[in-house]
Amino acid sequence: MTALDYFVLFGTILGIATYGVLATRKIGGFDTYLKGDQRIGWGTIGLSVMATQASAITFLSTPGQGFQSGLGFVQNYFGLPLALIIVAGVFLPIYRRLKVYTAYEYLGKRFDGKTRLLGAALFLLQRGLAAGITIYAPAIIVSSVLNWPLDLTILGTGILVVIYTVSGGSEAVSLTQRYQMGVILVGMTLAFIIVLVKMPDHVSPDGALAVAGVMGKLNAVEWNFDINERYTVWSGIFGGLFLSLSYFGTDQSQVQRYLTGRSLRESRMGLMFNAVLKIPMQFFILLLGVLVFVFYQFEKQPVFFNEALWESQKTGEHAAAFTEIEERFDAVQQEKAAAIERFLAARQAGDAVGEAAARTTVTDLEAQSQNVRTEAQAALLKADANLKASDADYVFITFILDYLPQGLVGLLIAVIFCAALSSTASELNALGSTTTVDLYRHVWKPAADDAHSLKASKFFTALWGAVAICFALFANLVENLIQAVNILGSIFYGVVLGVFLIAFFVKWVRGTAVFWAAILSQTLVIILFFQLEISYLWYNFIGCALTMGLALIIQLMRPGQPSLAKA
Amino acid sequence: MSDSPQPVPDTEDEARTGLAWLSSWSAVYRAVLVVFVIVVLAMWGFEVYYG
Repeated sequence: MTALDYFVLFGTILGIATYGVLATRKIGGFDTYLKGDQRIGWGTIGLSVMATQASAITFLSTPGQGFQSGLGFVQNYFGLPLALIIVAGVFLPIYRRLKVYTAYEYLGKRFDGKTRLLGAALFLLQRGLAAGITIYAPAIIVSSVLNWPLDLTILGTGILVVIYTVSGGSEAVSLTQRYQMGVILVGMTLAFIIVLVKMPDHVSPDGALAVAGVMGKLNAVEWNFDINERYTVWSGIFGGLFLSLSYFGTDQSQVQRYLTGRSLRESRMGLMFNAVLKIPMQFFILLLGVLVFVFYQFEKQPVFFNEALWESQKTGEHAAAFTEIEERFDAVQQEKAAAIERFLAARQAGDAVGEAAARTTVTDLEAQSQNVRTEAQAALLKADANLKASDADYVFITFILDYLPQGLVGLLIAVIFCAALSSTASELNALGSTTTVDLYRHVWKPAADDAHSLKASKFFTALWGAVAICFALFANLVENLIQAVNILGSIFYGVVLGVFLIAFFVKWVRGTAVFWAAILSQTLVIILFFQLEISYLWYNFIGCALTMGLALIIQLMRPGQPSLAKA
Repeated sequence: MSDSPQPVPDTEDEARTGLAWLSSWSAVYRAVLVVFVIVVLAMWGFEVYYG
C-alpha cells in the first residue's frame, strides 16, 4: 500500500466516524439514544439494515465463494424477500404500536417478564460472542496480507467503533452506516469495472462470461429438489425464509435499525429496499468473484491465495514438495490458458466443432487444476495440522493488492473496514440497548429515570465493546471458538424464533406455556446436538418447531383465556 | 433518502405507501414478489445462455 492508499483508507473510515460523533453530539435523551430522534427516512434505514447484515467477511468471503464455487450461493438469499414482507407486514407494526425499544420488550408485553428475560438472555449470549468475531475475522486476514500487527488492528477497529457508537447511540449507527454502505457500494462497483478492464484486450465481457460458463461458474439457479445438494432454489426459499425471519424479525441488531424510522411507512420502505436489492447485490458480488476467477485464467494465479502461509511452508523443511506442487499447478494453468484461447477463437469464428472440442479440454484441465489446489491444501495440513487450509477469504484481497491502482487499494481496504465497523456498531448498539432495557431497567433499577438510563446505556455499550475486543484479541488463541460461536447461534436461534412466532400468530398461548416450551425445547436441542450427526443449521428449524409444538401442547393442558400480561 | 425533522404518527400513515402506482401495502408486497421471480428467472436465463 502506498501513502495515497493509507490517506484514502484512514481518511474514509475516520471521516465517517468523526461525522457520526459530530452529527449526533446534541442527542441527549434516553429515547433518542436508543431509537434515534425518529426522523430517519427509508433510504437510510434500507442502507442501515443492509450494512448491519453485510459484515466485512461478506466482502472478503463472497467473491472468494464466487471464485471457487460460482454463483450458487446466491440461492441462500431466496427466502429473504418473503421474510422481509412478513416482518414489514406483521412484526414491525406491532413493535411500533407498542413503542418498544427492543424486540424482547414485546415478549414482556405479550407474555410475561420471565419470557422477556429468556429472549434477551439468549440474544445477549449469542450476539455478544459474535460481535468479537465480527472484529476478529477481517482483522486476521487484513493484518496477514498487509503485515499489520493483529492486536493493533483489532484494537484500532474496536476502539473506533466503540467511540462513535457510545457517543451517538442508534442515530450515529444509522447515519454512519449510510456513508459506510455508500463507500462499500462505490468500492465494489469500481472493483467490478476494473476486473473487466484488466482482462486481456481480446477477452470481451461476453467472452469472459462464456469462459466462466464453460467452467460451471454461472450455476446460479439449481431447480433439483435434492436435500443433499447444498444450494438449491428450494433450500434457499424454505431454509432462507426461516433464517431471515429469525434474523430480521427477532435479532435486536436488526430490529433496532428499522425502529429508527420516522414513520411506519419509512421503516417498511427500508425493509422493502432490502427485499428488492439484496439478491441482486449478492449476485453481483459473487459475479465479481467469478470474473476474478476468469481474470486469473490469463494471469499467473497463486496455487494457494494465502501467499504468506504458502511461502512460509515453501521455505520450510518440505520445500521440495511445495515447489513441485507449484510447478505442476503452473504447467496446468498454462495449458488451460491455451485451451481457453482456442475456445474463444472458435466461439468468435462460429466454429461449433472446435468450440465443443476446446470446451471439453478446458473442463478437463480445470478439473486437473482443482486437483492440484486440493493437493496443495492437503500438503499444508500435512505440514501442520493446525494451519487453515482454505484460501477463499484471501482471493479477493490478493486481487485488490496485486492489480488495483494506487488509491483504489486504499478504498477497497476501507470497504472491508467500513463493513466491519457498520456491522459491529449495530451489534454493540443492540447489546447495550437490550442490557439496559431488558435487564437493568427491568430487573435491577425499575425506578431509573431517563438521565440515569442514558448513562447506563452508554456504559453497557462500552462494556460490550470491551468484551468484543477482548474476545477478538483472544480468538486467535482458540481458533475453534469461531465455529463454536456459529454452532451456539444455531442452537439458540430456532427457540427464540419459535417464541416470537407463537407471540405473533397464536394469540391463545400464554406466557407460562411458551416459557416452559422454550426451556424444554432448548434442553432437547442441546441433547440432540450431542446425539445426532446433522448439520448444525438444522437446529434452527428443530428448535423453532419444538418450541411451537410444545407451547401449543402445554397451553392445551392448561386451558385459560388469553391475556396481555404486562412485564 | 431525505430525512425530515418530524416523526409521523403511525395511525395517520399506516395505510399509505406514498406511491402513486402502488397505493396499498399488499400491492407493494406483490410487486416485491414479482421482482423476486423476475430476478430468479433472469439469473436462470443468464446461466442457460452462458452454460
